[in-house]
Amino acid sequence: MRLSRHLPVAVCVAPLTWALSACSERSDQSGIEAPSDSLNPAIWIEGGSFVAGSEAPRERLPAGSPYSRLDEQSGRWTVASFWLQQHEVTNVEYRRFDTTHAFPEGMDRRPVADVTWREALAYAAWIGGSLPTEVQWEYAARGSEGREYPWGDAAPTCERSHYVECEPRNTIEVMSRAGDVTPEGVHDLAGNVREWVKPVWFDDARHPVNPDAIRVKGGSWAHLAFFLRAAAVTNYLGVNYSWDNIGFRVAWPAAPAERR
Amino acid sequence: MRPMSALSELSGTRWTGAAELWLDPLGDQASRSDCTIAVDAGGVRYAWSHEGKAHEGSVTLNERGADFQDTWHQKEPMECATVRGAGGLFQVQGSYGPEQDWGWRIGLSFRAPTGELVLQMTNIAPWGEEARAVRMICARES
Repeated sequence: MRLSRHLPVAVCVAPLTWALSACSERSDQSGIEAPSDSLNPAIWIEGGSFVAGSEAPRERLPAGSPYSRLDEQSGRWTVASFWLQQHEVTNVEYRRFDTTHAFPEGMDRRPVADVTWREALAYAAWIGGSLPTEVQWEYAARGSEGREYPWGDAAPTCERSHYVECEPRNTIEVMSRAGDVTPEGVHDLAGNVREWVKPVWFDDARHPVNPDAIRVKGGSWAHLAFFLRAAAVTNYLGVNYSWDNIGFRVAWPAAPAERR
Repeated sequence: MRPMSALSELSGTRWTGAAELWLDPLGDQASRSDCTIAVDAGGVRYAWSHEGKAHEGSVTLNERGADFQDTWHQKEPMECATVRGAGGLFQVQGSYGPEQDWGWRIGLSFRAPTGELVLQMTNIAPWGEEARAVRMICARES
């Protein structure tokens, strides 16, 4: 997937991008200028603290799993407020950025997949945001109360989310599984496609990003229910990796979290 | 559409392009080679190379799904089942390994906008993690 253009990063992108209907709107809750994209609204995530990761009971790990715990970032984190897109970036959204992006008819509202981490990051910058950090993503999915899944603690079903046991064995339109939503209104964090995130040390000069070790969060149409858990650990993947079950969404702003 | 019906429209065509093979854990270092894919109503036969040595493989469709064989990946035929509800021309999945606990998913799709045929193979660990393994992207030659 080639990037057709790289426009300057700007919070106000409306003059540059016809499809972003409004430059910004003010949040009553925060006073922060909120990003706005008519195709994918930003949801306000109130900052707070939560415990990331968890020890996985052995019996809940997939058979043969090499994992002994669910997340290396386990521990209490304080996360600054941020905005997160309501759903994964869709094909039609992504084509505004990469005009060569082709997809079959009828798949406008399916999440864009098969994009690399670098491409996802470039898209996010193009609309004035960034990728959520690993901790931001998990906080959005779990909330301060530490939900096991975005919707709560109930086990996944095909009515709730879209994963390997559900049909079709492919991506589906975003927001098609009404149960895969957080109390704040963020959809599809658990299923449909996995999502690229930034390492938590991305903005820390002492710990520059390791270009060989990026992770994805969440599950996908191709993954077991285990991976729908907000804390689930995933493979480390390369920045040039792309496949048909990985997409992304955008966050603003990306203030680094503090480990407490 | 059943896989064989979908393929019949491309039966007798031959495609050439580039193959990528990923062996590193991060899936970031592709080994590239030229490749060809020949399509008939019963499946696909393909040829590629690795480290200068020619290899070939086939996905032969049947009522259950398909038999998969490849001189580098899978010398003994692997039985694969049809993945229901998948997109593309066909998608099948089988298992291999000492305890048949590793999965291998094969998909063939046609990219209408660019007219390319894409043969893609995904490795599935017993604990459910997936990793890209092979992708061949080819343009029609005949």
